Amino acid sequence: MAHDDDRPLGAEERAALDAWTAPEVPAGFADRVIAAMAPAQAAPVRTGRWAGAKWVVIGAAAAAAVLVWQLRGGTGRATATGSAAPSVRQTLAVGGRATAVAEPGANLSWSVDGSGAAVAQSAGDVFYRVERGGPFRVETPHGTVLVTGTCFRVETRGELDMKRPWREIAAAGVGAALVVTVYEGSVLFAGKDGGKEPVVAGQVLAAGPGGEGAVVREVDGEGIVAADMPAAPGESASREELFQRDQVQRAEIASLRARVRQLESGGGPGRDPHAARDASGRPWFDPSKEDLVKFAAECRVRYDLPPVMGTEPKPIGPRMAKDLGIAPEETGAVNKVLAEIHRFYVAELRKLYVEVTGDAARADDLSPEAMGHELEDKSPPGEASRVNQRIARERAGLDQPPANLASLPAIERFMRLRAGLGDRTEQDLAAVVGAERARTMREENGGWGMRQEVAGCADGSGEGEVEVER
Amino acid sequence: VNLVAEVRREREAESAERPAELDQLTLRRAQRGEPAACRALVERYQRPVFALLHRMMGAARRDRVEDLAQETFLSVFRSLGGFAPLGPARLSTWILTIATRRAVDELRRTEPEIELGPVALASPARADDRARRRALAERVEAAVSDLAPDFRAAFLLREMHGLEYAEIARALAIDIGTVKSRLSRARAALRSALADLEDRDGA
Repeated sequence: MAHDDDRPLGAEERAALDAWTAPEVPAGFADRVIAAMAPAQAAPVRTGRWAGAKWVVIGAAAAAAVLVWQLRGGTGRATATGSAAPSVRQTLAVGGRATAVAEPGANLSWSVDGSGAAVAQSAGDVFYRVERGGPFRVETPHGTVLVTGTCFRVETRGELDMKRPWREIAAAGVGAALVVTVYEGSVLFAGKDGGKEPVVAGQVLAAGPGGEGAVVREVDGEGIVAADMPAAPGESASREELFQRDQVQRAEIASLRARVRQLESGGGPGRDPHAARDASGRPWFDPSKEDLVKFAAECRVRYDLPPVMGTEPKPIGPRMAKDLGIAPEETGAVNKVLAEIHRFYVAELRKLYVEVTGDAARADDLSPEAMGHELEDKSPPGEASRVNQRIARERAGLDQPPANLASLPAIERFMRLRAGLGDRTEQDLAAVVGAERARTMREENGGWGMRQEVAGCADGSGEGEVEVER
Repeated sequence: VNLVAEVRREREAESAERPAELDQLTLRRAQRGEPAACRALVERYQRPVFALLHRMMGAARRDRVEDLAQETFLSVFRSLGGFAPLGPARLSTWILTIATRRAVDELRRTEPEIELGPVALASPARADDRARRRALAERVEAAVSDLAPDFRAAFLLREMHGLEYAEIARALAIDIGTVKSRLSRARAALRSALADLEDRDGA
């Protein structure tokens, strides 16, 4: 049935949609999710009723005695207290008012009652998610941060230096004893010297031991990142210089932490995964015989694909053609081959899909990628791994390919179709631009734009990993 | 510049809100609850989730976006063990489905706290390009905000996140015909809003 307006959006309408941008993800969001999902040590983490909840991010590097505080009167409910000095990351429930994630080396204690919550943090890094309801304050050796609705970070630093005068700390190049950076909303900082400073989003406050000499200035994120690392400040270094140094170091720490996270998630350094050739210098899609034998042991299959996942072919544009050294009169022919490969792939895939599901109408609604996913989903458990194993062994010359492909299960025909599409593209292109040119184009680019490498045997050997690169 | 790099660049340019899928190894680690992998998952998909929720909730409930985003990911992790990597749904689609349902539930449950008035538009004839883009964005947001939650969800999933009709149908538990019908209505609303803007341009 025709609908009122089935036309896809035009360029101007699309441009209007593109103008509707979404804001950046708030800083520290992933940390807060991980903190909330971790099993709380002291009480279950509540995930509901978070409307209006605010985050406090606190880092402390000083090591002083744990502060003692007195909560003001009013005990509408029982007092909850606790303390922690973890040696590994620990998630804590702070009296139902906050979830705290304490890093190794942190030292904190808390007391919560009907009048509010107070946390004394003398050392380490701690993340807090604070629920709505009553005052929440964090006391450090250098002053108190009162939460007024915000996302911010507090660092106290200089374990030994905090006992020294501010000028000596500056001379030692340690920087401010206390730094408060506000990302959203605002905080009120109360120094031990009685001074109070509001700090709003986009500002950073630096203060000496005891909170004296607090300075608030704007944070320029780009400037921080772009700044060169300054030399160690001399005895006459100004607070301004110390500030800059602190910001550069902060950016570097953030970068290093990101790198650590990357390493933790398995994205360690190594050969460029996008390189056109493998470690032995062979084209990525055409490993050596020795490598193929190793691959067979891991049931590993590596192949490249032209852009066939979308509903429509993806032609090469003039700029891309120029980059590839394809002459304008050649571009049309190349695009024709790519379009024909796309048509061939979609037609074959559609046949397999209909064979498996019996639903031709649905096939018309699905992209090639979606059809492929569904074929894989409907295959018997372990079958994909067994097919991988067969293909890997055939490529290594350990087994003969099947004589009759038509008799194979649909999932195997699908996987063989994909694994062979790079070669088919090269062959078809060779008929247009010549075999040498087609091969060179594929080799120089390390394939036809999309790579897949699948490993893992049905018996569980071979690491069972799958890597996809697009 | 090579073909791989070109294709990669084009894909990146399509939208930073449509990230490549998480690799299967990291996904399996996340399914086992490894914190580093869970963090990688959040960082991979947080932007599209925030973008979807930001646009779904509109100005009236923007303060709920982060909470809903967090609830979305907590829900993802509670159910991640049952996610089939080789199943019909991509991980991104599955996560967006969870986010969409949370947003629709929220919108159905609560009345807007702030009624949107007429959108004040800068005069495009005099405005610079930045102001015009802002005016366009406001107009689009107002038009989309006027849609019912289910229509809004279908429109955003299709036009901003590139989901297929079948994927939207699964996400919203409706048939494909209904998806097309809702998209049709949403596009018509958008065109109407933009035509009004052009009229002002010409005025």
